[in-house]
Amino acid sequence: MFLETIALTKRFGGVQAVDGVDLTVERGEIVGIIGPNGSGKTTLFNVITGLYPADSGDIRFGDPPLSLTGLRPHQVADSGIARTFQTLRLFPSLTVLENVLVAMHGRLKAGYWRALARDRGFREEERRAEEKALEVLSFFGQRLVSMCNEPASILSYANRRRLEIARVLASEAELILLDEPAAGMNPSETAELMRDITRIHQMGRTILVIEHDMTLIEGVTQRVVAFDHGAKIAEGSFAQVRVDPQVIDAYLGRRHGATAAS
Amino acid sequence: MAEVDYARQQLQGQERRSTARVLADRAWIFSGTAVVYGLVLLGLSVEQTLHFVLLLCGMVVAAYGWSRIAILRGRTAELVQREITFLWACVIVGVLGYPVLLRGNPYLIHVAVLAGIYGLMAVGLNFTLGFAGLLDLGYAAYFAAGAYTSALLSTVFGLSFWLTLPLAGLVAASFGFSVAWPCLRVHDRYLALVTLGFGAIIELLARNLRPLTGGTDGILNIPPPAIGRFSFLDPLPVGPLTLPFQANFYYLVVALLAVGVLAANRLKNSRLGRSWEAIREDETAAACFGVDLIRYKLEAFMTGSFFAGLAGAVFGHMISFIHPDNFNFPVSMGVLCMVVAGGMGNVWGVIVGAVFYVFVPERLRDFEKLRLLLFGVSLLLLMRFRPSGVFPSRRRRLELRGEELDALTARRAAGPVDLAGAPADRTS
Amino acid sequence: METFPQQIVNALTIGSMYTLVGIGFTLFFGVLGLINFAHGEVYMLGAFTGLVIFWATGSTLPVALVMLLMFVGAMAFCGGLGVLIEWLAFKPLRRMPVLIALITSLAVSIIVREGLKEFFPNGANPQRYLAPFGLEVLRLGPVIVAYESLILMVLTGVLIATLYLLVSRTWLGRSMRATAEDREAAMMMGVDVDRTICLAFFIGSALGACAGVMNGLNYGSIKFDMGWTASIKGFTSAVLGGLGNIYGAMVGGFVLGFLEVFVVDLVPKGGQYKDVITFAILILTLVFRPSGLLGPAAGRRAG
Repeated sequence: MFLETIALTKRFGGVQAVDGVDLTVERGEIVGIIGPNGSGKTTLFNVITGLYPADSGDIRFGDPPLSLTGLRPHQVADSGIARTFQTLRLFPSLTVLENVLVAMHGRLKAGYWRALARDRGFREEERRAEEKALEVLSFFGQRLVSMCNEPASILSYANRRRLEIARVLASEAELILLDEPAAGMNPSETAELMRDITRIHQMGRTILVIEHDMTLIEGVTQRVVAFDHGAKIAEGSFAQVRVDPQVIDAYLGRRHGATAAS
Repeated sequence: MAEVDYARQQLQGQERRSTARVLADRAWIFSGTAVVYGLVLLGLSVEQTLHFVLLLCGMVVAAYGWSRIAILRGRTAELVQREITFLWACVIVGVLGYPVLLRGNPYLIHVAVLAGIYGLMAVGLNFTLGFAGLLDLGYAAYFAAGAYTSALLSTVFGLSFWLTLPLAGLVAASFGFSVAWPCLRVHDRYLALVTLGFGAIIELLARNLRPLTGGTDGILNIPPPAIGRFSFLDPLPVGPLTLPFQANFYYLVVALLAVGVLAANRLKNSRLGRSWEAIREDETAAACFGVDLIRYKLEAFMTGSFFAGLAGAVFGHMISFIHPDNFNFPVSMGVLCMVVAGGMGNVWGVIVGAVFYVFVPERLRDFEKLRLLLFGVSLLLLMRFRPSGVFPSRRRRLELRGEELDALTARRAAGPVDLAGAPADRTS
Repeated sequence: METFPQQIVNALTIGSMYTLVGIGFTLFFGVLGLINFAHGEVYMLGAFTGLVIFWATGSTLPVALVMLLMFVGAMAFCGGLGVLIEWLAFKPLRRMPVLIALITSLAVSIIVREGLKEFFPNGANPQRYLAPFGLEVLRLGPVIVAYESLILMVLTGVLIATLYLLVSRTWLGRSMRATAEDREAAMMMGVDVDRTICLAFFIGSALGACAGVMNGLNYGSIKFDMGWTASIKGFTSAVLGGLGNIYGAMVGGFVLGFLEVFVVDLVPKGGQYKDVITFAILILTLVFRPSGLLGPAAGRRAG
């Protein structure tokens, strides 16, 4: 088990955003997470990454398993988990390259005093970091590399999404959480994204993807987990989950006897 | 890969020039700095206040115009980039030569030292506010901490200035820690208010803790620094010339400023500097990539207060007398204004801000009554029309425009976005 | 050392003034996220407006009417002035980081203060204020209540009650709270944010001006630099009540008043250290109970 949540819960006032979720993810898997809006998928990510403290339950990650409960976001990141955000959270006035360099934070060692001293080791590290960053950017071919010195704010929407992913790659996190990476993309961009995700998977990463786009889920994931109202309602292959009556109910509303449209 | 190599070349960007070209460039740089320098000296020495005002306005308009005309701006930027080392040399000569040129007017050297002390504080606050984005409204507290520490250690224990100076910085930094740490741990949204209160408390304590701080009498007879038998109150012989003693403090302050600028640049261009930027832009996202918010904010804050402590020590030993009025709220606000108006994040901009803040009111002594009023009006206008400051860092300008672009960030743009006036990215 | 009931009266008196100024700070912080350094000067202008009205009418109209005119006139004028300041200085900066508006408010405060000092006749010196009751005071047993204090407390009570009703029962209160939470969302929900902010500034400034007049009546003289202390005290009151919490602000000033009066009493050398203790309490409140003494302790951890 690579990632495991045990009876994880999180409330906001009267809303049970995450309701006793038991989730397991094996190393090297790609798991899709689906569910209607408001079903708690992003909140789940937020709790796992430490942005919100869980009300109860536990999160175990890694081998040997380390408990993530109570850890602050940067500690979770240091343990090897990285994520993208549903509403892009790039650093707009940092350059494309710098965005990636920030993501590489955990890979670099120089701190306050080394930076002041600016010794040979520091400069070496910076130089290699820049090279690595460019390498990561080249995952997307020329597109981001050619803009590496431009502020991220001028990027087109699709390129911003790519930069979000580039950051996650650069962090060399073992577990990658993608939150609606295809939002706002047209079919050809989505197809390209699917290829990119597959490539990342082939690099040996474990991936959790929240998505509404079923083409992507079907094409990329090995296993799908469906949520509604904060709780897990179905789990299995895409084909299985897709026809699960609870899942259909969740998406279409409570209509008894409704059958899945293909 | 070719793309990677090209990008790397872009980052380094050097070309070869002919000797004639190099000489021409250097001539331009030299004359440029000489002209600016000459104008500054002129501004300092014109007799009539009216002339000074006209000169100042003229320079401001000229500088503004220069920066708006694309071809001038572009050429200057290229020139500077090519001959940056030479430019540095000219600037250093100019700065070091100031007391020599003004040796007949020790008062102006004294004012320059004051500007330098404030500049040191501005450099410090720049770490806290300009780099990490933390609003400190009680910065004078660390200035006071440094000043009183150094004053007390030298008057009561007879320690040498060269020992009390770093100690002053360390004490001030620890004050900074004790303010920031509890606040950052809980919820730093209120840091601004806490620092405001802390600044007020320190001033009040300085005023009331008579046995320690001398209360409203302050601390007197603070000894000047000395190197061996040479006291800083002795005139400084330089070759055939003799400079007034103020020059000693001048060079001390310049040295400290150099340290500050060096530290600023080194920290900025490092993982730490990038983390600070990231924290300013989106601290949640930064945290999700491993940036320890509390630690980095603390580091910025303590660096800032450290420099204030240094400034305080120098201040005390130069004026030889400190008093609670030197550390009140207007001082905090003054440094804040220098940093914001000078250009947050740009260590040179804030130093220029400090220079203006000290020199201009000096020159406007004739307008004693309206000085503050004019200051208020200019500050108001500056914030309205150039909120990024006079010499903003490129980031700062982008940030401020970014506030307006925020609404578009999350939504799918209909086409390539070009609001920043930069080439739109069409390669999606 | 004064008697306990007397202390209470004293505390209520200064508490009233602090509260009125504090409400302004909380309102401005609520709708704009701004610590408005200019508010203290509006308070000062209120006092001076009252003075001018007194000069204009003092000899011709009965005292009661003059006082009424002073209050009403100062509140109306300064309320309007507050709105004008917002419109000219802060509105263009709404999309900018709050720091810019903060510095702007500082600039405005300097301009107003120095402007008055320069251009008001004899502006740099203290001005004698109307003393309608001379030295007469009300005696309730061992307690001495100046008539001015009485008016002060009553007026403050009335104003606070009115404000309370306004905020809790009408659209204004809801709009202000919505704007304070999330301006963009409020706009999208149909809240007229501009009007809300306008009214917030009017009310805040008017109340501040009222406190200014009260201060003049209570102490008998006013000076161009009276705004600074009022700012600090008013601001501290707002924080004690929870910055942005209008209900809190209604009480915060009294809390501060009581704290000050009793600290001076109970702590040796209290008079000297009164302000230090006030600020210390301010800081402790911010660190441990940032939502003020009334609200719940803040939950979310940093990061």
